[in-house]
Amino acid sequence: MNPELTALWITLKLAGITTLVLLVLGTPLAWWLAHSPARWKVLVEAVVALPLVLPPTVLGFYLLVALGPRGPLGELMALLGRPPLTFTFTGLVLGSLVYSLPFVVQPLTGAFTAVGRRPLEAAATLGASPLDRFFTVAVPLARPGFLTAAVLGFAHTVGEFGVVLMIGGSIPGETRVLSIAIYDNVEMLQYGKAHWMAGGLLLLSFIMLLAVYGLNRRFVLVRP
Amino acid sequence: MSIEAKFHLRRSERFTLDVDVTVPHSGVTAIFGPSGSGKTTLLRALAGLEHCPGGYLRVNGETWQGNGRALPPHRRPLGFVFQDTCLFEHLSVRGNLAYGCKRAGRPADGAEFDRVTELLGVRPLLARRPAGLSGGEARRVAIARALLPGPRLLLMDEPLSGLDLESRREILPFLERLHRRLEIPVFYVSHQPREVMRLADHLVLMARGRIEACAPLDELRGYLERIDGEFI
Repeated sequence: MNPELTALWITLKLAGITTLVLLVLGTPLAWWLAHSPARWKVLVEAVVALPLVLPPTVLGFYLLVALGPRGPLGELMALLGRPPLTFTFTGLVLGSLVYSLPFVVQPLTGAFTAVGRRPLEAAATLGASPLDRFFTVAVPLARPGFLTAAVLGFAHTVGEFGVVLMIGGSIPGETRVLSIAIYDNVEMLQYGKAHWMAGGLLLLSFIMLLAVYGLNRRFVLVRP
Repeated sequence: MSIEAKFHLRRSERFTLDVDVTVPHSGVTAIFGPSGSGKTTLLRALAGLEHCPGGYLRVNGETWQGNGRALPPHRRPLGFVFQDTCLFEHLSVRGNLAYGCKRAGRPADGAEFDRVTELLGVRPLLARRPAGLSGGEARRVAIARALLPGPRLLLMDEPLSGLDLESRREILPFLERLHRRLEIPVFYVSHQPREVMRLADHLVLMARGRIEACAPLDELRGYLERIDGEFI
């Protein structure tokens, strides 16, 4: 496969896996953030929001340290008899999970907060167990939030650069994503190729955001 | 044949629910009192929606709460009509009505379904979405939704509040019809003396989280008429 298409495939695979894992792990976390009365919740909220304000290189640096052979995760991998995760696709997925966490958790938390407790109480008085009412009432009512979370999580991972550069480098077929490929091409003064890829990313991001706004509007219109 | 409830719940510096009451297990019991007197909190405690450690609730010989144990809300065979209806906006009216039936193992299209939807006049609304209903229609759907799973106790939190005069006039006959047909006890929260006089058999008067009086309506009718006069 040509290197640009390989980079595109790695990018989409990374964003897809990251989004799926974040939706699965982020949903209970967002639910807890929306409904827990715990005072130390603000601490968790701040930690979740950190990747929004930290320079990606800072985040990447700490991830590099943690994943490296002397970091806690690197040592864990050594205990399991496996090589460290730095400069691997799995390492990139772990980094992206941290990097895109707020983009998935925050829309979900907002959606669950907006749904509130009342519909769930109504479901309880109609005989629905906690899990039942979560899946049959909370999730469908929070659907626009899920859509926003999925698209923002995906798009933000597609646009990842600093973190990838720090922990993944630019290994074709393994960690060389589109944003890195664009950077490589510009460094080699191959502006034509960089244009194609940058334009493609721009279009992809625009279409995804258009889908979010369009579909969320449709949800609102369907349930006037 | 009675309902015994005992709850002590400190909600804030200014409000504590402190009730110990026994009412008959039949007819409509109105919980009457000014705003902030704890009517809704008591109703929610009966439904298990308020966590009341140390509370006690016995309904017709069956213990729903006591000895440090409490049935969770979804295991209590009751219907709850919320003040703001709380219809599920992602479901049609039929979907809302079927929700409780499905969990109670009752068919959502049998003779009982027809009877209740007919009684409350919601049959023409089945295909509609909750957001497209008028205030009165939404209340009737909410009442039908609470009744269809076949509860053994019906709790209604000010089902007429926030409605304009026309909607109130529209829905009152339905409530009276319910009153005559229902065989289960009903708790009806209200702060409207006239509504209470028209619908209730038994009255629980509340103020500041406590029960001031508990008696058949006839014994307290004079009090209600006086309040109604002052209100006007």
